[in-house]
Amino acid sequence: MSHSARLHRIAKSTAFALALLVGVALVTVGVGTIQKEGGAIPVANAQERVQCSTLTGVVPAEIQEYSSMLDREEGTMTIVIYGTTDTVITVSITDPLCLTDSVIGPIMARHLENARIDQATECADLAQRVASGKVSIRDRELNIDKVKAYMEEWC
Amino acid sequence: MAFSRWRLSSTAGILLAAFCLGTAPAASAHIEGQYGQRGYIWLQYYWNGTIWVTSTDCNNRELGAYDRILSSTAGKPEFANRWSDGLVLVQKRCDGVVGTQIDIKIIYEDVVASWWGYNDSDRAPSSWCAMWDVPHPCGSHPSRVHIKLSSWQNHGDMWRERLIMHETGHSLGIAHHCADDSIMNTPAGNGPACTEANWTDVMVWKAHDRDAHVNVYPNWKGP
Repeated sequence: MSHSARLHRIAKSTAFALALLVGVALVTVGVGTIQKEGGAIPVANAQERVQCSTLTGVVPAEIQEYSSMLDREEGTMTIVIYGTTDTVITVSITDPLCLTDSVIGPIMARHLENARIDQATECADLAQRVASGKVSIRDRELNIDKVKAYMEEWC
Repeated sequence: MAFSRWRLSSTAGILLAAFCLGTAPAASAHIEGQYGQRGYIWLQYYWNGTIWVTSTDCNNRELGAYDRILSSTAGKPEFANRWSDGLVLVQKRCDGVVGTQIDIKIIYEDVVASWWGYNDSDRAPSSWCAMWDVPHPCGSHPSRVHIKLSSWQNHGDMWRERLIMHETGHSLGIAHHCADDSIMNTPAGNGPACTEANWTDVMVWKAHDRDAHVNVYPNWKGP
């Protein structure tokens, strides 16, 4: 076998091994991946919800920072935990497993409580404006029926 | 035939390896929207680019941070086609109350945790977008910035302004970025930023921060 052919063979084997490794990793993670400096992190979306047990082993002390996004219409919360390895998880806000999870349970509880408080203040604000017969915000007059529709749904 | 197969498997291998090792452009690496459509304020960009903030403790460090954000975004080439006047954050209310018009709420609170601050956002429901005559999804309403009060009190003015810039960056839709100096560097524990620079070495939005921000709102068409 020529030197060139040997190099091709080594390259081919390496590429195949890499592809296999990545394939196995994708299957193992099971929820897809997202690229990020330094490697891939697990990511879930609303269609591929993962169980809270995904976070087994993560302890609050390892959390450097986190961000969460509540989608009230879908009833889901997406939480990004920035730690030694970043984790993105989307869970149902009514999933009892998540609500009692030692890591994300408190995060979800805090977020839901804040959302409740802000919703209440906004509803009071809107009710006052609607009572005046005109809802004008940021120099723009809103359609009062649409304001009422929003209030009926969320207040 | 053999060569074609080799070329195919090699290319696939290289592409897959590149995907997993994270060789994407820096900007795309800190687009928060890729993390499940979270943490961005879309609606106000249909208006005039002004972001209204309520705070439980309006202070000069917030104002300092807003000035820094404005000066490092106004007139920059990345923003030329969109927010040429820069990002304008306004201290609209000082009672921490979220009215319909508020985009970001800043809360200073006592918590037992290792982090300095965090961010949580509520995705605006479709009836809220309809109220403003914009299509759903139309961003977050509101986005909250939580500041750990004890850390805030133990640090100086520069550190505080940096933290406000970082957390409002999350509210605007940008994720962490560790490849270069960035306003979105992760705080490394209680030490320096993840690039090992001092936390306060970066006090402006960098070009790749602006790039990332522009890419968070790809369909933005202007007011």
